[in-house]
Amino acid sequence: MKPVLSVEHLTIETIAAGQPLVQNISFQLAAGQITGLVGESGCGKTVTSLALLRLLDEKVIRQSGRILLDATDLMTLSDRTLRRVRGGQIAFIMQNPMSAFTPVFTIGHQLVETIRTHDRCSKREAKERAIEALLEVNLEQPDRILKAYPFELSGGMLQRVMIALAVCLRPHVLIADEPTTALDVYNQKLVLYYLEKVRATYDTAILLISHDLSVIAEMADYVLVMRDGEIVEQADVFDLFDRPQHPYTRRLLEQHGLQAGGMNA
Amino acid sequence: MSLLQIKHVSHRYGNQRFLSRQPEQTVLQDVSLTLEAGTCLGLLGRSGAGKSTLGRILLGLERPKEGQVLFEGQDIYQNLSSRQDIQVVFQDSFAAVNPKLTAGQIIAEPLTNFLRLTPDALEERLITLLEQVGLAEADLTKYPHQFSGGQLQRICIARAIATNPKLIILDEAVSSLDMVNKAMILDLLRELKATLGLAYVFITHDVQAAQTLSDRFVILDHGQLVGDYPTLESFTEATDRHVEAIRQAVLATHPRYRTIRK
Repeated sequence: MKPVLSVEHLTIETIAAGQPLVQNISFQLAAGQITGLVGESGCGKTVTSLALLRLLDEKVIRQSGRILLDATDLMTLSDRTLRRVRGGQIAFIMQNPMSAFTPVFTIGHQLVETIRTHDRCSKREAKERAIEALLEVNLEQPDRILKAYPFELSGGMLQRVMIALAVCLRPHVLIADEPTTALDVYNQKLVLYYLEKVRATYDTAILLISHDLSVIAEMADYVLVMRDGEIVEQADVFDLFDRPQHPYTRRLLEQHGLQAGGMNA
Repeated sequence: MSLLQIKHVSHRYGNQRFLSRQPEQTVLQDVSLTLEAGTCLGLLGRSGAGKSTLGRILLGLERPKEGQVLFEGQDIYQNLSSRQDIQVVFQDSFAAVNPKLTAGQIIAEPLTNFLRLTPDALEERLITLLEQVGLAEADLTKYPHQFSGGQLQRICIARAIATNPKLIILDEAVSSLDMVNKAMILDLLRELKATLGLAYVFITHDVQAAQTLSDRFVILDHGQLVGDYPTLESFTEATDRHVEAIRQAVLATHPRYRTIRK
């Protein structure tokens, strides 16, 4: 299968101390596939996802390696060109929906602005597309939501708005960094369900970052296990759960089994 | 006598702005519960069900509009000494501590509030507490930003047990930890419950975490108590719609059982 995004020998380190945060990792994302990235807090999951879009402060952090989106190496692009890639071809869903929106503008303003930054269209057209996107994640009364400010919506609703925002530009790649960690279990399942809908409808390549192996079990085709900035194991999700190779993966699965016992098989 | 009795508690959050016409919102409606010493009550429910409000009422941070909360038979709003016996651990440990204080100062706060200890006795108590939660003496002089989320949650637990309380409210105390830390903190809580005879009210939407710690389960929905299961078995075998809804929301533990992707 031809990868949409290919990461080759990505290394991330702090410039001041030369402290490595992520060391020589390589992986690929394929269209219509969900790749899970799992690991403990502080292992480098988020820093990796930010590096894919070159969102890390270049004065503080140095990254090397190649990030190929189709045939373009994102590492060689100018900031200006890169801005078109961010949000357009690669979209990002953050962990905390409460802090990902600007509190002083309405949801509608933020959706329309994002759409018009990437695609030339009238405000009215952009608004129609925003409404369409909100309906796709089953948010009722989209007119009302467009007029609402972020604080007027619950965390679960905001996270669905963020998915709507991320997919209304039909990105080839979607990075979801702990998209359900801030939600309760009921909303978690709903948000995961809509992510799956995005994948199935648009054939999007999704990088799903999570510390929760249940989220990975539900969603992923392929899994990367990260520890202290290195990928210690990568495998098909069934192989990983049935035949973990690395001792660290085995330890994670053991703890996962202990906690999950009881409620389902 | 039960350790804690919640009797017909109702609570509303009102919009008290001048000339405001917005109606008050009922967050708890006629909730009655009892809790025995040394046991853990798992309090489950969706965001906004009223779980945290009930926790705040038990802590005396919020006074219910109707009903009564008795701790060892005495009203917690009259008998202020219950404040020492009921402590709390919150979800976000970084928000629950003063960033300018060292771990030692953080844990010492309830001790200096409630007990009169000599400096030597205080120091000794602090070291014992740190050891009880799996940290070391050297951590006393560290500041919150020098700890990981899991370690800082241990500091919060040490602070909660400092005054030898009888009841601790765990308000989503493990919800934002990663799986490794969550398992370790749950182990620690189980151990402290056994060795110190603590009772917990474990507020969570994470049913798996609740099951590893709780002796009894209740479900709150829209401010009302909709389910009460006295044992783990009665909870796992229940088939009413509230337990079903929780069960539906639980994710597969292995890709073989997954339901979102087929």
